[in-house]
Amino acid sequence: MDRYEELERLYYKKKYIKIFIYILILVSFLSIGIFIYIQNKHLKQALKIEKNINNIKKIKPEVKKLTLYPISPEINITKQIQKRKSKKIEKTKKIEKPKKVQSPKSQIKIIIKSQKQTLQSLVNAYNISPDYAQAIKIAKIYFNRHNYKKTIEWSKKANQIKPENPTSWLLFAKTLVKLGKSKKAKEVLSAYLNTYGANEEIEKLLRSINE
Amino acid sequence: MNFKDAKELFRDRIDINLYVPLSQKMEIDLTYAIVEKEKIILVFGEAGNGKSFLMKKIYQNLLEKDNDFKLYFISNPFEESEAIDELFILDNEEKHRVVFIDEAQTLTEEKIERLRMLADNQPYTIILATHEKEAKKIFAKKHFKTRINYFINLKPLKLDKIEIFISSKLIQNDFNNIASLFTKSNYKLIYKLTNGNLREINKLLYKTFDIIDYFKNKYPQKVSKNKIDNKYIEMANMDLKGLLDG
Repeated sequence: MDRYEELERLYYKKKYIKIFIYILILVSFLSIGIFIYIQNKHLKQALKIEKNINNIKKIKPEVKKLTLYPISPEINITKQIQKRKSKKIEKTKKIEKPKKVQSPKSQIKIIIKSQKQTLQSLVNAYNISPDYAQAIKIAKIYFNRHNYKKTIEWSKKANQIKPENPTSWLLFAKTLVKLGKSKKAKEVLSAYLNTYGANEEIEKLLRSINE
Repeated sequence: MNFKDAKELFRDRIDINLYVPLSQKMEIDLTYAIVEKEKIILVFGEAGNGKSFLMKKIYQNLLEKDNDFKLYFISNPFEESEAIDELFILDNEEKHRVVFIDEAQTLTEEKIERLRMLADNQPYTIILATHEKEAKKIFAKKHFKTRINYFINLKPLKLDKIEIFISSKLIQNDFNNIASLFTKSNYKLIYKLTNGNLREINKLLYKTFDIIDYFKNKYPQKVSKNKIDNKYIEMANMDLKGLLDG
Protein backbone atom coordinates (compact mmCIF):
# COMPACT_ATOMS: atom_id res chain seq x y z
CA MET A 1 0.00 0.00 0.00
CA ASP A 2 1.30 3.43 -0.90
CA ARG A 3 2.25 5.91 1.80
CA TYR A 4 -0.59 8.28 0.88
CA GLU A 5 -3.18 5.52 0.98
CA GLU A 6 -1.98 4.62 4.43
CA LEU A 7 -2.21 8.31 5.30
CA GLU A 8 -5.80 8.38 4.06
CA ARG A 9 -6.64 5.37 6.22
CA LEU A 10 -5.10 7.11 9.22
CA TYR A 11 -7.02 10.27 8.37
CA TYR A 12 -10.37 8.44 8.39
CA LYS A 13 -9.44 6.60 11.58
CA LYS A 14 -8.68 9.90 13.30
CA LYS A 15 -11.81 11.47 11.88
CA TYR A 16 -14.03 8.69 13.21
CA ILE A 17 -12.35 8.83 16.61
CA LYS A 18 -12.95 12.60 16.62
CA ILE A 19 -16.64 12.13 15.74
CA PHE A 20 -16.95 9.45 18.41
CA ILE A 21 -15.39 11.76 21.02
CA TYR A 22 -17.70 14.60 19.98
CA ILE A 23 -20.74 12.35 20.32
CA LEU A 24 -19.44 11.09 23.66
CA ILE A 25 -18.97 14.64 24.94
CA LEU A 26 -22.40 15.63 23.63
CA VAL A 27 -24.06 12.63 25.27
CA SER A 28 -22.22 13.28 28.55
CA PHE A 29 -23.30 16.90 28.54
CA LEU A 30 -26.87 15.92 27.77
CA SER A 31 -26.86 13.31 30.54
CA ILE A 32 -25.39 15.79 33.01
CA GLY A 33 -28.01 18.33 31.92
CA ILE A 34 -30.87 15.88 32.37
CA PHE A 35 -29.46 14.70 35.69
CA ILE A 36 -29.17 18.29 36.97
CA TYR A 37 -32.69 19.03 35.74
CA ILE A 38 -34.15 16.03 37.56
CA GLN A 39 -32.13 16.78 40.69
CA ASN A 40 -33.37 20.35 40.60
CA LYS A 41 -36.93 19.20 40.21
CA HIS A 42 -36.60 16.88 43.21
CA LEU A 43 -34.86 19.57 45.21
CA LYS A 44 -37.61 22.05 44.46
CA GLN A 45 -40.22 19.53 45.53
CA ALA A 46 -38.31 18.75 48.70
CA LEU A 47 -37.98 22.48 49.45
CA LYS A 48 -41.68 22.97 48.86
CA ILE A 49 -42.51 20.15 51.26
CA GLU A 50 -40.04 21.50 53.80
CA LYS A 51 -41.56 24.95 53.48
CA ASN A 52 -45.02 23.56 54.04
CA ILE A 53 -43.82 21.63 57.09
CA ASN A 54 -42.18 24.75 58.45
CA ASN A 55 -45.39 26.70 57.93
CA ILE A 56 -47.32 24.05 59.80
CA LYS A 57 -44.71 24.06 62.56
CA LYS A 58 -44.97 27.84 62.78
CA ILE A 59 -48.72 27.65 63.16
CA LYS A 60 -48.73 24.71 65.56
CA PRO A 61 -47.07 26.34 68.60
CA GLU A 62 -49.54 29.23 68.45
CA VAL A 63 -52.44 26.81 68.47
CA LYS A 64 -50.90 24.99 71.42
CA LYS A 65 -50.38 28.25 73.27
CA LEU A 66 -53.91 29.44 72.69
CA THR A 67 -55.63 26.18 73.44
CA LEU A 68 -53.24 25.26 76.22
CA TYR A 69 -55.87 24.37 78.74
CA PRO A 70 -59.18 25.80 77.70
CA ILE A 71 -59.67 23.18 74.96
CA SER A 72 -60.04 20.15 77.19
CA PRO A 73 -62.54 21.64 79.59
CA GLU A 74 -64.39 23.15 76.68
CA ILE A 75 -65.33 19.79 75.17
CA ASN A 76 -67.02 18.75 78.40
CA ILE A 77 -68.24 22.24 79.06
CA THR A 78 -70.13 22.61 75.79
CA LYS A 79 -72.15 19.51 76.62
CA GLN A 80 -72.72 20.76 80.13
CA ILE A 81 -73.66 24.18 78.83
CA GLN A 82 -76.31 22.70 76.58
CA LYS A 83 -77.83 20.81 79.50
CA ARG A 84 -77.59 23.81 81.78
CA LYS A 85 -78.96 26.11 79.14
CA SER A 86 -82.19 24.23 78.91
CA LYS A 87 -82.47 24.27 82.71
CA LYS A 88 -81.56 27.95 82.85
CA ILE A 89 -84.11 28.86 80.25
CA GLU A 90 -86.71 27.22 82.38
CA LYS A 91 -85.40 29.05 85.47
CA THR A 92 -85.20 32.43 83.74
CA LYS A 93 -88.65 31.94 82.42
CA LYS A 94 -89.76 31.34 85.99
CA ILE A 95 -87.82 34.35 87.27
CA GLU A 96 -88.69 36.64 84.42
CA LYS A 97 -92.36 35.95 84.73
CA PRO A 98 -92.93 37.97 87.93
CA LYS A 99 -90.70 40.72 86.44
CA LYS A 100 -92.92 40.90 83.46
CA VAL A 101 -95.82 41.41 85.77
CA GLN A 102 -93.96 44.08 87.75
CA SER A 103 -92.74 46.18 84.75
CA PRO A 104 -94.63 47.30 81.66
CA LYS A 105 -94.25 45.01 78.58
CA SER A 106 -93.30 47.76 76.21
CA GLN A 107 -90.40 48.90 78.44
CA ILE A 108 -88.87 45.39 78.60
CA LYS A 109 -89.15 44.92 74.87
CA ILE A 110 -87.32 48.21 74.26
CA ILE A 111 -84.49 47.28 76.67
CA ILE A 112 -84.04 43.82 75.13
CA LYS A 113 -84.15 45.29 71.66
CA SER A 114 -81.58 47.99 72.47
CA GLN A 115 -79.28 45.38 74.11
CA LYS A 116 -79.62 43.14 71.08
CA GLN A 117 -78.81 46.03 68.81
CA THR A 118 -75.74 46.96 70.89
CA LEU A 119 -74.52 43.35 70.94
CA GLN A 120 -75.15 42.91 67.23
CA SER A 121 -73.35 46.12 66.39
CA LEU A 122 -70.41 45.02 68.58
CA VAL A 123 -70.27 41.62 66.83
CA ASN A 124 -70.45 43.34 63.43
CA ALA A 125 -67.69 45.74 64.41
CA TYR A 126 -65.57 42.82 65.64
CA ASN A 127 -66.13 40.92 62.38
CA ILE A 128 -64.91 43.90 60.38
CA SER A 129 -61.89 44.47 62.56
CA PRO A 130 -61.14 41.83 65.23
CA ASP A 131 -60.12 43.53 68.44
CA TYR A 132 -59.32 42.19 71.90
CA ALA A 133 -61.31 44.79 73.85
CA GLN A 134 -64.32 44.28 71.59
CA ALA A 135 -64.23 40.50 72.08
CA ILE A 136 -64.00 40.92 75.86
CA LYS A 137 -66.91 43.38 75.80
CA ILE A 138 -69.05 40.87 73.89
CA ALA A 139 -67.98 38.03 76.19
CA LYS A 140 -68.93 40.15 79.25
CA ILE A 141 -72.37 40.89 77.78
CA TYR A 142 -72.96 37.19 77.28
CA PHE A 143 -71.65 36.48 80.79
CA ASN A 144 -74.10 38.99 82.21
CA ARG A 145 -76.85 37.33 80.22
CA HIS A 146 -75.73 33.95 81.62
CA ASN A 147 -75.07 32.74 78.13
CA TYR A 148 -71.94 30.80 79.15
CA LYS A 149 -71.48 28.98 75.88
CA LYS A 150 -71.16 32.30 74.08
CA THR A 151 -69.03 33.68 76.93
CA ILE A 152 -66.56 30.83 76.44
CA GLU A 153 -66.65 31.33 72.70
CA TRP A 154 -65.87 35.07 72.92
CA SER A 155 -63.35 34.80 75.75
CA LYS A 156 -61.56 32.26 73.55
CA LYS A 157 -61.65 34.68 70.62
CA ALA A 158 -60.16 37.39 72.83
CA ASN A 159 -57.60 34.90 74.12
CA GLN A 160 -56.51 34.15 70.55
CA ILE A 161 -55.69 37.81 69.97
CA LYS A 162 -53.83 38.41 73.24
CA PRO A 163 -53.12 35.13 75.00
CA GLU A 164 -51.02 36.85 77.65
CA ASN A 165 -53.83 39.18 78.72
CA PRO A 166 -55.39 37.80 81.96
CA THR A 167 -58.92 39.27 81.35
CA SER A 168 -59.96 36.52 78.90
CA TRP A 169 -58.58 33.88 81.28
CA LEU A 170 -60.43 35.41 84.26
CA LEU A 171 -63.68 35.50 82.29
CA PHE A 172 -63.17 31.96 81.13
CA ALA A 173 -62.43 30.74 84.66
CA LYS A 174 -65.40 32.60 86.09
CA THR A 175 -67.63 30.99 83.45
CA LEU A 176 -66.31 27.57 84.42
CA VAL A 177 -67.07 28.33 88.06
CA LYS A 178 -70.58 29.34 87.05
CA LEU A 179 -70.91 26.03 85.25
CA GLY A 180 -69.80 24.23 88.41
CA LYS A 181 -66.40 23.37 87.02
CA SER A 182 -64.35 24.91 89.82
CA LYS A 183 -61.63 22.29 89.53
CA LYS A 184 -61.21 23.03 85.83
CA ALA A 185 -61.28 26.75 86.57
CA LYS A 186 -58.41 26.31 89.04
CA GLU A 187 -56.46 24.33 86.44
CA VAL A 188 -56.95 27.07 83.87
CA LEU A 189 -55.82 29.79 86.30
CA SER A 190 -52.82 27.72 87.40
CA ALA A 191 -51.95 27.17 83.73
CA TYR A 192 -51.93 30.94 83.21
CA LEU A 193 -49.62 31.44 86.20
CA ASN A 194 -47.31 28.68 84.95
CA THR A 195 -47.21 30.07 81.44
CA TYR A 196 -47.18 33.82 81.92
CA GLY A 197 -46.05 34.23 85.53
CA ALA A 198 -47.60 35.90 88.55
CA ASN A 199 -50.77 37.99 88.25
CA GLU A 200 -52.63 39.55 91.13
CA GLU A 201 -56.16 39.19 89.73
CA ILE A 202 -55.61 35.58 88.64
CA GLU A 203 -54.18 34.73 92.04
CA LYS A 204 -57.08 36.51 93.75
CA LEU A 205 -59.66 34.53 91.77
CA LEU A 206 -57.77 31.32 92.42
CA ARG A 207 -57.79 32.05 96.16
CA SER A 208 -61.53 32.84 96.11
CA ILE A 209 -62.27 29.55 94.34
CA ASN A 210 -60.17 27.68 96.88
CA GLU A 211 -62.04 29.33 99.73
CA MET B 1 -5.29 20.34 -13.94
CA ASN B 2 -1.65 19.76 -13.36
CA PHE B 3 -1.06 19.56 -9.63
CA LYS B 4 2.40 18.08 -10.21
CA ASP B 5 3.66 21.32 -11.75
CA ALA B 6 1.63 23.54 -9.50
CA LYS B 7 3.21 22.08 -6.36
CA GLU B 8 6.61 23.34 -7.50
CA LEU B 9 5.41 26.91 -6.90
CA PHE B 10 5.29 26.11 -3.21
CA ARG B 11 8.64 24.37 -2.86
CA ASP B 12 10.52 25.77 0.14
CA ARG B 13 13.12 27.91 -1.60
CA ILE B 14 13.71 31.60 -2.24
CA ASP B 15 12.83 32.21 -5.86
CA ILE B 16 12.24 35.86 -6.63
CA ASN B 17 10.18 34.91 -9.66
CA LEU B 18 7.61 33.45 -7.29
CA TYR B 19 7.55 36.54 -5.07
CA VAL B 20 4.06 37.73 -4.20
CA PRO B 21 3.95 41.37 -3.05
CA LEU B 22 1.87 40.95 0.11
CA SER B 23 2.95 44.10 1.85
CA GLN B 24 3.78 46.79 -0.64
CA LYS B 25 4.10 49.29 2.18
CA MET B 26 7.04 47.41 3.70
CA GLU B 27 8.66 47.07 0.30
CA ILE B 28 8.31 50.80 -0.34
CA ASP B 29 9.44 51.68 3.18
CA LEU B 30 12.55 49.54 2.98
CA THR B 31 13.48 50.82 -0.50
CA TYR B 32 12.95 54.40 0.66
CA ALA B 33 15.17 53.85 3.73
CA ILE B 34 17.94 52.49 1.46
CA VAL B 35 17.60 55.34 -1.02
CA GLU B 36 17.80 57.76 1.88
CA LYS B 37 21.07 56.05 2.91
CA GLU B 38 19.96 55.18 6.43
CA LYS B 39 22.77 53.53 8.36
CA ILE B 40 21.30 50.38 9.94
CA ILE B 41 17.94 48.83 9.11
CA LEU B 42 16.57 45.91 11.07
CA VAL B 43 14.08 43.54 9.44
CA PHE B 44 12.69 41.09 11.95
CA GLY B 45 9.89 38.61 12.46
CA GLU B 46 9.25 34.95 13.17
CA ALA B 47 11.00 32.34 11.04
CA GLY B 48 9.17 31.80 7.77
CA ASN B 49 7.41 35.16 7.71
CA GLY B 50 9.12 36.24 4.45
CA LYS B 51 12.12 38.26 5.60
CA SER B 52 14.48 36.58 3.14
CA PHE B 53 12.00 36.98 0.29
CA LEU B 54 11.57 40.67 1.01
CA MET B 55 15.35 41.26 1.24
CA LYS B 56 16.04 39.32 -1.95
CA LYS B 57 13.28 41.11 -3.81
CA ILE B 58 14.57 44.57 -2.91
CA TYR B 59 18.14 43.55 -3.62
CA GLN B 60 16.98 42.33 -7.04
CA ASN B 61 15.03 45.54 -7.69
CA LEU B 62 18.07 47.66 -6.85
CA LEU B 63 20.31 45.51 -9.02
CA GLU B 64 18.01 45.96 -11.98
CA LYS B 65 17.90 49.72 -11.54
CA ASP B 66 20.73 51.91 -12.65
CA ASN B 67 21.86 53.56 -9.42
CA ASP B 68 24.86 54.68 -7.44
CA PHE B 69 24.80 51.82 -4.97
CA LYS B 70 27.27 49.02 -4.63
CA LEU B 71 25.21 46.04 -3.47
CA TYR B 72 26.11 43.04 -1.32
CA PHE B 73 23.89 40.15 -0.32
CA ILE B 74 25.03 37.76 2.41
CA SER B 75 22.43 35.05 2.90
CA ASN B 76 24.31 33.15 5.63
CA PRO B 77 26.94 35.14 7.53
CA PHE B 78 28.14 32.02 9.33
CA GLU B 79 29.04 30.30 6.08
CA GLU B 80 30.10 33.47 4.32
CA SER B 81 32.36 34.99 6.95
CA GLU B 82 34.90 35.87 4.30
CA ALA B 83 32.35 37.98 2.48
CA ILE B 84 31.75 39.90 5.71
CA ASP B 85 35.46 40.46 6.16
CA GLU B 86 35.64 41.90 2.66
CA LEU B 87 33.24 44.62 3.71
CA PHE B 88 35.87 46.09 5.98
CA ILE B 89 38.43 46.39 3.20
CA LEU B 90 37.94 49.87 1.85
CA ASP B 91 38.50 50.64 -1.78
CA ASN B 92 38.49 53.93 -3.59
CA GLU B 93 35.02 53.56 -5.00
CA GLU B 94 32.77 56.48 -4.10
CA LYS B 95 29.56 54.51 -4.39
CA HIS B 96 27.35 54.12 -1.32
CA ARG B 97 27.38 50.48 -0.22
CA VAL B 98 24.23 48.61 0.67
CA VAL B 99 24.77 45.33 2.54
CA PHE B 100 21.91 42.89 2.94
CA ILE B 101 22.65 40.37 5.69
CA ASP B 102 20.12 37.59 6.09
CA GLU B 103 20.12 35.30 9.16
CA ALA B 104 21.89 38.04 11.12
CA GLN B 105 21.42 36.03 14.30
CA THR B 106 24.42 33.94 13.25
CA LEU B 107 26.74 36.97 13.39
CA THR B 108 29.16 37.05 16.30
CA GLU B 109 28.98 39.99 18.71
CA GLU B 110 32.33 41.17 17.48
CA LYS B 111 31.13 41.23 13.87
CA ILE B 112 27.96 43.09 14.84
CA GLU B 113 30.04 45.69 16.62
CA ARG B 114 32.36 46.09 13.65
CA LEU B 115 29.41 46.47 11.31
CA ARG B 116 27.98 49.14 13.58
CA MET B 117 31.22 51.07 13.50
CA LEU B 118 31.42 50.63 9.74
CA ALA B 119 27.96 52.07 9.27
CA ASP B 120 28.84 54.90 11.64
CA ASN B 121 32.00 55.99 9.90
CA GLN B 122 31.71 54.90 6.28
CA PRO B 123 29.12 55.32 3.49
CA TYR B 124 27.33 52.05 4.32
CA THR B 125 23.72 50.99 4.72
CA ILE B 126 23.46 47.68 6.53
CA ILE B 127 20.20 45.76 6.44
CA LEU B 128 20.02 43.00 9.01
CA ALA B 129 17.31 40.35 8.81
CA THR B 130 16.88 38.34 11.95
CA HIS B 131 14.44 36.29 13.98
CA GLU B 132 12.28 38.14 16.45
CA LYS B 133 14.02 36.77 19.55
CA GLU B 134 17.46 37.69 18.21
CA ALA B 135 16.19 41.15 17.30
CA LYS B 136 15.28 41.64 20.96
CA LYS B 137 18.83 40.71 21.94
CA ILE B 138 20.20 43.33 19.57
CA PHE B 139 17.75 45.92 20.95
CA ALA B 140 18.97 45.18 24.43
CA LYS B 141 22.34 46.73 23.64
CA LYS B 142 21.76 50.41 24.16
CA HIS B 143 24.55 51.71 21.99
CA PHE B 144 23.27 49.58 19.11
CA LYS B 145 19.63 50.51 19.54
CA THR B 146 20.35 54.17 18.99
CA ARG B 147 22.21 53.38 15.74
CA ILE B 148 19.30 51.49 14.14
CA ASN B 149 17.44 53.94 11.96
CA TYR B 150 14.69 51.73 10.70
CA PHE B 151 12.72 48.75 12.01
CA ILE B 152 10.59 46.53 9.81
CA ASN B 153 8.52 43.93 11.62
CA LEU B 154 7.16 41.15 9.42
CA LYS B 155 4.11 39.58 11.00
CA PRO B 156 2.32 36.34 10.04
CA LEU B 157 -0.28 36.59 7.30
CA LYS B 158 -3.92 37.12 8.10
CA LEU B 159 -6.68 35.08 6.48
CA ASP B 160 -7.35 37.53 3.63
CA LYS B 161 -3.62 37.77 2.84
CA ILE B 162 -3.35 33.99 2.71
CA GLU B 163 -6.04 33.98 0.05
CA ILE B 164 -4.17 36.64 -1.93
CA PHE B 165 -0.86 34.84 -1.52
CA ILE B 166 -2.11 31.45 -2.78
CA SER B 167 -4.34 32.68 -5.57
CA SER B 168 -1.78 35.25 -6.82
CA LYS B 169 0.97 32.68 -6.89
CA LEU B 170 -1.17 30.25 -8.89
CA ILE B 171 -2.64 32.85 -11.26
CA GLN B 172 0.74 34.50 -11.92
CA ASN B 173 1.98 31.11 -13.10
CA ASP B 174 -1.04 30.22 -15.23
CA PHE B 175 -2.71 27.82 -12.84
CA ASN B 176 -6.01 29.69 -12.87
CA ASN B 177 -8.03 26.46 -12.95
CA ILE B 178 -6.37 25.25 -9.73
CA ALA B 179 -6.72 28.67 -8.08
CA SER B 180 -10.47 28.53 -8.76
CA LEU B 181 -10.76 25.24 -6.84
CA PHE B 182 -9.87 26.88 -3.52
CA THR B 183 -12.79 27.69 -1.23
CA LYS B 184 -13.08 29.91 1.84
CA SER B 185 -13.15 26.75 3.93
CA ASN B 186 -9.76 25.71 2.46
CA TYR B 187 -8.22 29.09 3.29
CA LYS B 188 -9.61 28.96 6.81
CA LEU B 189 -8.16 25.49 7.36
CA ILE B 190 -4.77 26.54 5.93
CA TYR B 191 -4.78 29.57 8.23
CA LYS B 192 -5.66 27.39 11.20
CA LEU B 193 -2.92 24.87 10.45
CA THR B 194 -0.14 27.34 9.61
CA ASN B 195 -0.97 30.39 11.75
CA GLY B 196 -0.25 32.50 8.68
CA ASN B 197 3.42 31.53 8.49
CA LEU B 198 4.50 31.77 4.85
CA ARG B 199 7.02 28.93 5.02
CA GLU B 200 4.41 26.65 6.63
CA ILE B 201 1.84 27.60 3.99
CA ASN B 202 4.29 26.73 1.22
CA LYS B 203 5.16 23.39 2.81
CA LEU B 204 1.51 22.52 3.40
CA LEU B 205 0.43 23.35 -0.15
CA TYR B 206 3.38 21.54 -1.68
CA LYS B 207 2.39 18.41 0.20
CA THR B 208 -1.35 18.87 -0.47
CA PHE B 209 -0.80 19.14 -4.22
CA ASP B 210 1.47 16.11 -4.13
CA ILE B 211 -1.25 14.05 -2.40
CA ILE B 212 -3.97 15.26 -4.77
CA ASP B 213 -1.74 14.45 -7.73
CA TYR B 214 -1.26 10.92 -6.43
CA PHE B 215 -5.01 10.24 -5.89
CA LYS B 216 -5.91 11.95 -9.16
CA ASN B 217 -3.71 9.54 -11.03
CA LYS B 218 -4.58 6.39 -9.09
CA TYR B 219 -8.21 6.98 -8.06
CA PRO B 220 -9.52 9.82 -10.27
CA GLN B 221 -13.09 9.24 -9.04
CA LYS B 222 -11.99 10.17 -5.50
CA VAL B 223 -10.80 13.65 -6.43
CA SER B 224 -13.41 16.35 -6.87
CA LYS B 225 -13.19 18.40 -10.07
CA ASN B 226 -14.92 21.40 -8.54
CA LYS B 227 -13.10 21.97 -5.30
CA ILE B 228 -10.19 20.98 -3.12
CA ASP B 229 -11.34 18.64 -0.41
CA ASN B 230 -10.16 19.68 3.06
CA LYS B 231 -9.34 16.03 3.57
CA TYR B 232 -6.17 16.40 1.45
CA ILE B 233 -5.04 19.49 3.36
CA GLU B 234 -5.56 17.62 6.64
CA MET B 235 -3.68 14.63 5.30
CA ALA B 236 -0.80 16.86 4.20
CA ASN B 237 -0.67 18.38 7.66
CA MET B 238 -0.64 14.92 9.25
CA ASP B 239 2.21 13.84 7.00
CA LEU B 240 4.22 17.01 7.73
CA LYS B 241 3.77 16.42 11.44
CA GLY B 242 5.11 12.91 10.97
CA LEU B 243 1.95 11.26 12.31
CA LEU B 244 2.27 8.42 9.84
CA ASP B 245 5.73 7.58 11.12
CA GLY B 246 4.52 7.57 14.71
